[in-house]
Amino acid sequence: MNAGISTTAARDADIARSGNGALAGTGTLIRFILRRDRIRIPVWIVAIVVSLVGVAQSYADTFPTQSDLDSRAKLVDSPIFVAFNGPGYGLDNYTLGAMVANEGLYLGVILVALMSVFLVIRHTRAEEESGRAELIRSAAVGRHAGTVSSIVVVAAANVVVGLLAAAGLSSLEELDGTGSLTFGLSMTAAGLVFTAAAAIAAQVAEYARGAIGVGVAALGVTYVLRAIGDISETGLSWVSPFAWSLETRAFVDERWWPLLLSLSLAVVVTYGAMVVSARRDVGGALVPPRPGRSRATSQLVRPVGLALRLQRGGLIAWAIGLALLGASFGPLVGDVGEFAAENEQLQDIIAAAEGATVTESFLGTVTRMLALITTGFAIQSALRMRGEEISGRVEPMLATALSRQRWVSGYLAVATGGSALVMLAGSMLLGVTAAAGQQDASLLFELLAGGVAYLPAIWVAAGVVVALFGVLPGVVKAAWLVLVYDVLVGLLGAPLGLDDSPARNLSPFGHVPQLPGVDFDALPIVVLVAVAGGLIGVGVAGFRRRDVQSS
Amino acid sequence: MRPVISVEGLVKNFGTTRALDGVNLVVEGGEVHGFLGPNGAGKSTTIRILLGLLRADHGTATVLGGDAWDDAVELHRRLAYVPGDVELWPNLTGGEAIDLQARLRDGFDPRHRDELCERFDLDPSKKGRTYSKGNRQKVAIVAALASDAELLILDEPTAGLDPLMEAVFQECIREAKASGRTVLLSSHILAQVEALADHVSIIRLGRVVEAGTLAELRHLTRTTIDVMTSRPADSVSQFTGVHDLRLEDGRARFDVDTEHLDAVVGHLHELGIRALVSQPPTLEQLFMRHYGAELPGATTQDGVSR
Repeated sequence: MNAGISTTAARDADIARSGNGALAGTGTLIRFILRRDRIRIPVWIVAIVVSLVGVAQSYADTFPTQSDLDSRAKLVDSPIFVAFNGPGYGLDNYTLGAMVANEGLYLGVILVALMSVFLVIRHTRAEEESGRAELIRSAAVGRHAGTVSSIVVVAAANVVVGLLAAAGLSSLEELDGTGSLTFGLSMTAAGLVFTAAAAIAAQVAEYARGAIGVGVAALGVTYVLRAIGDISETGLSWVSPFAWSLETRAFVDERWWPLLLSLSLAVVVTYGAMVVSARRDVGGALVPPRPGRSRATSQLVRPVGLALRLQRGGLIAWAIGLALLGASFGPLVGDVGEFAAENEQLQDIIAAAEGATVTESFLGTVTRMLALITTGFAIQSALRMRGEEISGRVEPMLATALSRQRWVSGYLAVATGGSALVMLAGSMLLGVTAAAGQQDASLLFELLAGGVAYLPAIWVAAGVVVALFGVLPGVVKAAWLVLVYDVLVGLLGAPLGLDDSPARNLSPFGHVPQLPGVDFDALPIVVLVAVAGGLIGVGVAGFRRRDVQSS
Repeated sequence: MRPVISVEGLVKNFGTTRALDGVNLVVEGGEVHGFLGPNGAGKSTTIRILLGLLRADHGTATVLGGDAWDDAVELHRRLAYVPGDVELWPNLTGGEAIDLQARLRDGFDPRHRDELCERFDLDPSKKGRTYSKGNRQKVAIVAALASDAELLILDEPTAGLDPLMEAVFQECIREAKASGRTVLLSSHILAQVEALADHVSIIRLGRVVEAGTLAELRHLTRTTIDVMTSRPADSVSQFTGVHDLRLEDGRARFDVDTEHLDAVVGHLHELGIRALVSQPPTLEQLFMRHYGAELPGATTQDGVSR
């Protein structure tokens, strides 16, 4: 009897020691997250650092002389570059360092932001969605432990990325230590803002997928606000962490105070996330569930109906997002044209490089960016098939008179048709706003045609998902590499010197005519459609032959 | 008449693990066939092969006269399946999930569906994410019973149901049997199988180790006797086939091999029976005899069932 009492007392003492407050168990959870992600986090860190150092190195190789850099500086000062990369600085004496910061910092910011959003959601909302969080919270774990442990780990990952990027950059001959450290910590600061933003997103949305959408949308909105602010020179940019990071002016005349803005925002937003998280139910969200139809419509019973219903919300969100993006860049076309008219030299550079007018080249680049984002939708949408399989929801469906190819066809229709809708929403709004600005209706049709021309390349990415799903389902997520490669070739191809290399041909985006501004060539389009069809055929045949897997 | 399900020498490997090692199984038309075995014995793997979801490495699986893999889509019109772990779409209602599956089979009857929802006390207007484990299970059961499928394949269908709903389920299965449908019922709940099944197959480590009617299987095991006699019953211990004899205050409790039952009861009669309770072997005892020695706690241990 005595022994029992003393054991209880000892246990009470244990609880007292380990902390009974809202943060109890945080240390254990931090170790748990590090254990779970012992591969994932290092992969993110290494991938980000290597890409940045690789970009810097390729700039050094592509622009070896001061005159190369000087002519580059003129381009950086143009509205096209300002829209994408922010207002240039250090242009009077353009150095490699200034170039890396002006043209590479946003890449770094976007990468750390994505890393932060994905990792935070993975350890917060995704855990709640799966029900595992309930198990954890039933133990002696404080209310804030889950959120705080995720934030601590991801914040630490951001610091490590910043420091390693600084070390990597300073290893290049032309880049100094102070500038490299400023660059690295500017990335870290932006990463912390998006870490906090993801923590809020995890409170708002009930599903991990939705929470990731909110986090990525925050990234897109801050990027676009900055673009509008930088072009219109209204100071609107100062609401965006993108601007704060660039305003440290790494490699030219470093200053640290802009990072205080990032840090303050990160702290405030984190506090907000913790307040919301402590008030709501575990597993719950801000919006309570409502009852729905008690019968299925005949629409839903068709394979396309179910696939569409499951992705309807996401599809609409993507289409609105692309439309907003198109509408943000379209009005800039006037400024771009004006600027070019005043600057004959720039006109020569762009026209010589692209065989198109400055306006056309600008719109072509925006269209290409829209197409890359749409590729993200296509891949995500097609991956839904694997999600349905792993969750076990496909088994009862395939145990009805629904053949495997008909089941695939539903998801395929949404991935291909949906990506067409998303792309055209972007092209349409880009076209309408650009045509209105230029008072030239033909621009709308040219931009729509330009958008359509990208669809086969986008469908190839969906085809890769289907092929992997059928033949190598375990590694189907590797299909994201297609998007990474498309981004490398499609947006960074020129500065990386990929444009003339055979590597370009491996990306579907290497074959799409960049309309408007170049002659339309039907052959690559036809070939890409055939490739997409072939990949889909391989995938369907593979899926018909293999076992259905479940967790 | 050809059997509804006929499985011969079924082998399935997952990597280096052999999940099925020559399974034989015959289910005749119109019977409720209990399919018993501990976790990981191969019940679900066998069922997934019957549904054409997995491809057997060796052996044949014939369902309703067709090949389980090649004729899967046609066969699925005529059969219905309830998985043991029902996953629903979080943003679809239970009613939508029911219709989605039931309408892809022959003979879907919306009125029957509504009636089943009523009987199982299921609100079909709720979203999938709000259902408890038991309610998710009900969704799958209603979806399976709402069509007039000839064959019901049920893989631990009532996991998570409360006793009241368990009774409703058993009633529905009896009705299905009465209307001539065939049922393959994989279950852990031995009382359920005992109440419903005519035939039983017991699977262990990827092989069917025992098959037959419940009566036949009972014959292989022991009856439990609890008796009060006028004279002390110690002499019972002399008889062959008597096990676990416990004596107290003129009361004797023991198990006896069914083949020696007659001789032992004859002897008890000579001792003067004042009260006698004789229990036939439960399925549980049958089951434990197969697994108890080698797999302690086999019926309760946790594990992933394939």
